[in-house]
Amino acid sequence: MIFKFALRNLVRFPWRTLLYAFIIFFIIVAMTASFFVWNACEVASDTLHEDYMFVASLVKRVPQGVPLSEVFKCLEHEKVTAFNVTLSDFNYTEYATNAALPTGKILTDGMIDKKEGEVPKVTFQDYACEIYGVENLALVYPFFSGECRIREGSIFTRKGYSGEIAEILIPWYVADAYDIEVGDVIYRRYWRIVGSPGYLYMPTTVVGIYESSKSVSDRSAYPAYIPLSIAEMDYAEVSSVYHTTVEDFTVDRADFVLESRDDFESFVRFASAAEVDFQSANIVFNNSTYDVLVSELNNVNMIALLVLGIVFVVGLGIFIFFTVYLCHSRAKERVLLSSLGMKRIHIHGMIALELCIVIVCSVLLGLGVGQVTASKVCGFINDTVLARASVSEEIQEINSAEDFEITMPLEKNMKIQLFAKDADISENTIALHKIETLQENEIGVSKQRLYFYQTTAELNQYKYPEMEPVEEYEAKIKRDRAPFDFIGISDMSYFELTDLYDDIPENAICCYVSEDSPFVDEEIIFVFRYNVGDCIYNDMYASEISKAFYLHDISFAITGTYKPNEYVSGNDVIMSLEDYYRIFAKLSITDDEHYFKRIGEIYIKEETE
Amino acid sequence: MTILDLKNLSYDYITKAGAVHALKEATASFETGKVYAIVGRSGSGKSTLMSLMAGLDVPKNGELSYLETSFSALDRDKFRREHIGMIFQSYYLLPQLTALENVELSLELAKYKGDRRKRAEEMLSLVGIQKEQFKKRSTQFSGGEQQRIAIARAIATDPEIILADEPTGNLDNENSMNVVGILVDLAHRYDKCVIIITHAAEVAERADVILKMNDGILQAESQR
Repeated sequence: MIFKFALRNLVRFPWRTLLYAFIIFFIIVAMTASFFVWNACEVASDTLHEDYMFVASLVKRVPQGVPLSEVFKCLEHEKVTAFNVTLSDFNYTEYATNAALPTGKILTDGMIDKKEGEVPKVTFQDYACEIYGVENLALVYPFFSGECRIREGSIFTRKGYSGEIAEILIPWYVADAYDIEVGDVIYRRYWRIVGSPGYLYMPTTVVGIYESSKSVSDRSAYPAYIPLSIAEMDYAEVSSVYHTTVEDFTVDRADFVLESRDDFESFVRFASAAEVDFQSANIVFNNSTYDVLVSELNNVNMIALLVLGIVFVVGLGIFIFFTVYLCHSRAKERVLLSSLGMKRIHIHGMIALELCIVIVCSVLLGLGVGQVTASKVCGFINDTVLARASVSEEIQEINSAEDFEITMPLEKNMKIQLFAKDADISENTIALHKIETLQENEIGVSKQRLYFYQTTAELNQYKYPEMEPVEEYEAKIKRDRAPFDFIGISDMSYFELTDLYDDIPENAICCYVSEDSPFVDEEIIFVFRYNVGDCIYNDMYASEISKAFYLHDISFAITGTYKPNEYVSGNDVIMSLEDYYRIFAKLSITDDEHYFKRIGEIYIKEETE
Repeated sequence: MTILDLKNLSYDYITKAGAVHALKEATASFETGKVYAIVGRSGSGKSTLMSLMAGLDVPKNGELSYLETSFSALDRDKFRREHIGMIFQSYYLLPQLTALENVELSLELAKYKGDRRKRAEEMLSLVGIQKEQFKKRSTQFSGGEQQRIAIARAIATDPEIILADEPTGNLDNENSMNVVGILVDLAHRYDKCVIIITHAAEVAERADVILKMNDGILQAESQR
């Protein structure tokens, strides 16, 4: 009966019901909306703080870049959770492909199986690959970058690294060519330069075979690897290997991911204390976006909280007032119902029930509408504040490491150890990537650093060491090996290599052109692989060694390098045609009948025209 | 037959000015078939007396009995539902209900077993409300009509006692006489005990017995 009377009163007295319901509804809507907005701001703040990558970047202030040593100084900061460096292009060109390279002196021409009791069979035609001694295979750039992976077997063992066991990791093409499997014992063959010339055969166990994920044409970039300790024991000269230091490498930029916004200041203090060279580097933060977003969120949060508080206090007052008013306004009704014999508890119950129904309906409706209203505001926050966070350049850059040409993984405490070639190598200062197109009087050639090594006379002496004392010979070698800064030879790949002749030094390779080549009877180079880039020149005729000559007096100016374009790569250099003809006309296949399109692509004029 | 008996009733209440002796040693007997008028100035204790007689309140001292049964032994809510019909100066009709529903309300509360609708219609007809007006909201009636509806509601459960507190206070003379006529008729024709609290002399004149209230004292009784 109470329920019936209550419902009838609610239905029959809509103005009172509606007024009360509207008051509660609006109070709840305002409170709900402000609460959800406040909550959304809180969540957004937390999310922003958790997801935002606080990056302190060490950026270069000088063209040479920031020395890697400065990066390592900052890396020690305890709040650095990850870092990412962008190596300078120059460094990459020079070192990346030669990482972990202890001069590359060790050569195996003909990596062969040697069965017990048999004399090793050596053939110059069976060119295998270079061997590099490495201190840590994991830090060899192709493995470090993920370009190379172990196809079979494993990397070196602990004993292998310590020199107890001679282990070798060979490239796939060698394994496939010689049908070598993991566990096989192969022999590295060294040419003994000092003392009695001859070969040294070093038994070595194949522990692994690696492969490259790239489709490569130049396999020389994929040598076999042995532990450095093995190489040093086998071949004394390896001990003179020059290890580059972190000072030798520069980065364009190093990003340090910090834990929180508060770490920026401590990072600067730490960098200052670590004596980071701020002449060459500058520290920048990506805090601006974060600060703006946090400020906006705080503002919205404050407003929402204020609305929530005000509406709660005022709304509570209004609610109490109207509830009391409604009860009082029904005093006559209570008297009447009492006079009609209705129990007081029933009368109060009926009125309470009416209020409860109104309150519950209003609250439910208010919660729904409040949530919808809040979602609009929250949507605004998401669409503006957080969306802006997600597209902030700083974050995007860090999140897309693959966009960088040369990057390192975001890992802390990663030690980088790089090795470079022999310290004797001098570097020409060549303006990088300044040349857009060729001039009429210029031509592009491959950039190859060649060194004059020895004359024919010396070669003869080498063949007959009794003609000259060894000490004098070595002194001459040292003198003559001064860098020649010989740049160019447009397309080495065009020449065929041979180790046909037994009487030339083991470390040398004769280049020749085949008989059907249009360059038969042209001069040919005689390249030493003993030291990377070493060479001598000979007047060579097809398949025949002939006279040699000095190139000491030949020099020319390097104009610069190309900016990579559809014709040339960044490794190519440009030189004047005059120099080109003076030095390379006979060596190169580029002549009146052929034209140069790009390195490695020479076309006969008649064919294309 | 004495239906309601008052013996030495006293009632006090507290105001800011202090204790007020609203009723002092009131003694009276009420019989069926008669109209009683309790007259007196405002604040003389008339309404307090009516409230006690209806069982809405409890006296501080003295005793009230219905058909020789003390009020203290009664379920006073049930007593009002079944034996008392009350009429107020302000009618106390529920504005959200129609005339018919106002009358039905008392029947519903009294759990009337018969046809409530029919009974309500009869009662409204009895007090002179036209049938076509039955379903009009009570606020749409004139003062006289509202009071007649209130009388219909009061007598719908066929109570023996009808208590009317200034039933003509808000009515003009014509309507007052009509209402009083109905009440007198109820007493004389239907053998009800009608107790009217009034300060209108012309109303009191229609009563069979007049009781005077003066400062909480039920002073004299004059019988016509």
